[in-house]
Amino acid sequence: MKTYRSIAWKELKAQRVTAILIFIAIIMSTVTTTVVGQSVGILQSMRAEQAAGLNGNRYASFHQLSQEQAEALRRDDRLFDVGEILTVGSMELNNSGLTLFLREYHHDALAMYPSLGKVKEGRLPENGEEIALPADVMQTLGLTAAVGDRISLTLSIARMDGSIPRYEYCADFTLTAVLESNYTGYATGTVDGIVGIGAAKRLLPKEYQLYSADFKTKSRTEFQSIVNELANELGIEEKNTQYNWVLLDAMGIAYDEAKGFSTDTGFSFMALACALVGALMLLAAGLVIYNVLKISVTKKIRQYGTLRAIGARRRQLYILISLQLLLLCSAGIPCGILLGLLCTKGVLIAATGFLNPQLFMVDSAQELSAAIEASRTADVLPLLASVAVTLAFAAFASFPAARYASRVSPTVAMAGRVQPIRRRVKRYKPIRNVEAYYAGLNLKRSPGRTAITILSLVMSITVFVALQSFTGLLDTSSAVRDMHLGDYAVSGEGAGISAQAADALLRHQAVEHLSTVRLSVFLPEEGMAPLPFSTDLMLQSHESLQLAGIDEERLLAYADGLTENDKEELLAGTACLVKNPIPFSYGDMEVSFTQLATDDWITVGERSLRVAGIVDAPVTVNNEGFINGVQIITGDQVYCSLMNDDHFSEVYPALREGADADAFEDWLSQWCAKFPGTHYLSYRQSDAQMEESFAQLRTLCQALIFFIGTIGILNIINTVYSNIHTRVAEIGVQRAMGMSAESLCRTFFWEAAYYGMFASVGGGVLGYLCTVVISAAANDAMQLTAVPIAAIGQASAVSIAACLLATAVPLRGAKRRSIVESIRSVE
Amino acid sequence: MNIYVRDVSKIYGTDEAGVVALDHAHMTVHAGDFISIMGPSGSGKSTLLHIVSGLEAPTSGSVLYGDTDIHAGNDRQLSAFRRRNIGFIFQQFNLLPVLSAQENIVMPLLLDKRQPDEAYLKELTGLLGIEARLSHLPHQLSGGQQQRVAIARALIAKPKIIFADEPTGNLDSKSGSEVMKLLCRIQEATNQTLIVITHDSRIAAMAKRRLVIVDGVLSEVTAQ
Repeated sequence: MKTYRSIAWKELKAQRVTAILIFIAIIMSTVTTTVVGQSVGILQSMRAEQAAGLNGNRYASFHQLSQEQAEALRRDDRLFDVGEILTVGSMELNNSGLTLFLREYHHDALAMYPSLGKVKEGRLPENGEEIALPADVMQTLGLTAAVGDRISLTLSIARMDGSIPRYEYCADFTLTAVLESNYTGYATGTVDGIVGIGAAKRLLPKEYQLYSADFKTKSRTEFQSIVNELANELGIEEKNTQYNWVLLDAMGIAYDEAKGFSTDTGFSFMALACALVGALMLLAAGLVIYNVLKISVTKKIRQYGTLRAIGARRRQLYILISLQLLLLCSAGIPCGILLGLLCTKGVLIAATGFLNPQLFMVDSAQELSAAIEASRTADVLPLLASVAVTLAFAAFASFPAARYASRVSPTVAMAGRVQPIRRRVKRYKPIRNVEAYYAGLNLKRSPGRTAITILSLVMSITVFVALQSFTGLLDTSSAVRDMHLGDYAVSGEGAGISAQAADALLRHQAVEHLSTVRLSVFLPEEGMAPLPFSTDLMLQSHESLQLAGIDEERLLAYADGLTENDKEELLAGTACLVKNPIPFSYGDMEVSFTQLATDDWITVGERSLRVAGIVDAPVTVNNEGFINGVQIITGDQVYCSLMNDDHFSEVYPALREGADADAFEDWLSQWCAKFPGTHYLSYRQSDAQMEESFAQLRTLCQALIFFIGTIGILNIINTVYSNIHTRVAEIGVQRAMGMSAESLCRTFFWEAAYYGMFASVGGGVLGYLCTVVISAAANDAMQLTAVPIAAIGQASAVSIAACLLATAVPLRGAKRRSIVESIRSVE
Repeated sequence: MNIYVRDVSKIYGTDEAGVVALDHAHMTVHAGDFISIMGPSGSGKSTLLHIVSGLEAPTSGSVLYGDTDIHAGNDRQLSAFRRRNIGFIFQQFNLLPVLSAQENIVMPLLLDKRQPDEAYLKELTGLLGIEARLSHLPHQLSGGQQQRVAIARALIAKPKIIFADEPTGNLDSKSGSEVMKLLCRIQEATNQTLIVITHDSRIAAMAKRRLVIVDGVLSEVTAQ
């Protein structure tokens, strides 16, 4: 032995069990920190993949471009993945509420819409004579054509600025492919067909051959300034710039229009939530190391006392302990990283394996895994962070233990005197349950260890509760899903849907709820005629006047945030909500527009309505857009009395849980046939698709919960193991006095149950606070939210059960141990 | 209750490496006996005590309490037997560090789901001179006081037999002498069976019957 430092290695070899425990803890800690870092990356990547699948793998698009402008964009070195699209025309699909858009995709433009070009049969169009249509479009159009057949479509196209009249024409194509149905556009009422390059040139006059260019910016941080510069350089109007907010939000790219969307908090929230979860998990992992080390040093305190007695300095003891830890870390951390990376791969495979990869617009789970792997960035940083955090916690954990070893009195340490118990003994009270009482006292004999064990469990419960509340906010698709009411949209063209017809719908046994909309739009070019009521509203010449009557539930949803008095007035028909016109400009000239404010008064017919609030989202029907103007939103009663008409424009049946949707759709088709002018659109398939994608994200969160739970359990096993091994003689005495093995087990189980119960309370409170913070981040307002009782209950039950199970493992040995050997052992 | 130790042997290890700790020990303990067992270190006296008290099973032979072979029952039965019939006094005191003196004393009763008889507890602690130290934790007591608490714990359930394994081994001569005098007085007063393991001839001489054990072989030197 050349130096005293060799003792570090010898001690590790001598105390194999402790060394192995610390080694496992270091590996677990590194695995966890690695998995957390990598999984956060995966979550982010999956969110981005999902967003790209939903709305195109593009950051933004410029519309109404000339060929020269589109080519200039392609050449611009600030951009990549530039793809040009020419819209050839659109047509409404028979009574479906859907509009088919035919587009030709240049260069790699189609690759940015992975959901569009999935060929079910045939091949993609190669020239302007050819077309590919999705199966659902073929069905809706009633086309029975096979691949290779000629089909004829009546199409129209208009410029967005309305500067020239809409161009309508009829075109023949050869069908080269039937595409997979894509339901993601149903929420916005659009479906897409693909025509070969040259179709626009063949079919459209030059003035209608306008390009749209999708692109990504190489710099994410400068995204908005690049877009602004490009728009300026190429003379692109603001209204022709479209931001792909779904992807921008998912990737956390800042953009100007983000202020208007509720999802703009998505990324900042995601970052906050991930940081929160990561911090909690790292803390839990660090506590494991701390706990094991502290116990390890305590067990060896006699040796350290001897070393001190023979002349070792405090510094040398610090070095000895740190060296042991360093040796274990040098072996444990690489193993942990390797295992962590493998676990991450496992998490990815598990998450992508059992769900439909088509949600992410790819054909197989392998493809999805590869896509996510390819899109992941900054892998090294989380790895380095996990190493740093593990080392930091290990060093932090070793410090108090080393301090304890170096400061202990040599005589006390060598005498092996047990550390005095600190307890305030109160007046003796009868003890009814000796096991529970003794377990309670045991918790107090090593308060640090108890606190750390409970804390690691608290972390697990907190993460579980917090993750439950933020998985919903991770779901990009929910923003799209929320765009519609009910499971179906039933529209009535012309006169609308009579109250009697709507009543028949509501009375159907499968229907749980029916949202209704009545909407009348009076256009300025028609001189507002026939406006059936007088009004004192003075509108601009380009503004429409709209009157919307919606059901009470939706009216109250619109009025969310208003006072109770406002709501009462809305329901009583003495107040209304208003959607103001969207401001716009021609070149540099601002066009004036009407702007009503809260508490203004409007006279409509013989009614005076107070404006109770201004809303951002207008009421629209049949997937049509908002025709710029003033929209007055009221209850049904006001609408019907002003319009003297009780027909609905659109109704939205929501089905009961478990209802036979196919049977209902058959019935609904018959219902539509019975009431001419009515048609329906189903959101069922698109919703199912969206829900599945949400489930996928949730799986990853569950994996995180599993990991932190494992850490908590490891801590309990370690604590119970240590408790048993530091109380062997005591256990022997208890057994000698007549404590049965069952009674001994009950004492330890009580101890475990206390850990679980205390942790449940702590974790529940902390989890609730996290939920409040998450809710505040999502809503931009600090307010108390409902207590997630179910999540807290589940976490508590699982924690207590885990504590009991974790206790049972080391107890098996203790139960069988000889009483005599136990009594003879030195604590 | 008489105790019959019949041809008890204890061998630690197996085959050639086996160590014979107790070699065909044979004795009868009558109710109310005060027995001392003497022997040098490693002679097997503690092994004998452990086997007779049911803490350890013999390799061969049997220990009968009346008609009952205590090693024939399961752990639950044996535990119940110990807490109702046997009191232990250890050299190291072995008080439970987390419990107060009073809680330590009443522990055997609590394990048997019984509550202490307050009058008896008062009498016992008064006799042992520890009534003022009942709310103290073990580390707050002197060695002599700790051993008195241990004696009170051994007696609280009014066991039929008390085993004391080197009860004065960890005490100075004055405290040791006091503890032994107390034990003798209590044994005389209650007529409980007391078996003391010791290597101190003065303590051994206090017993009515004296046995010695050398290399695992037990023999009685003073017949009653």
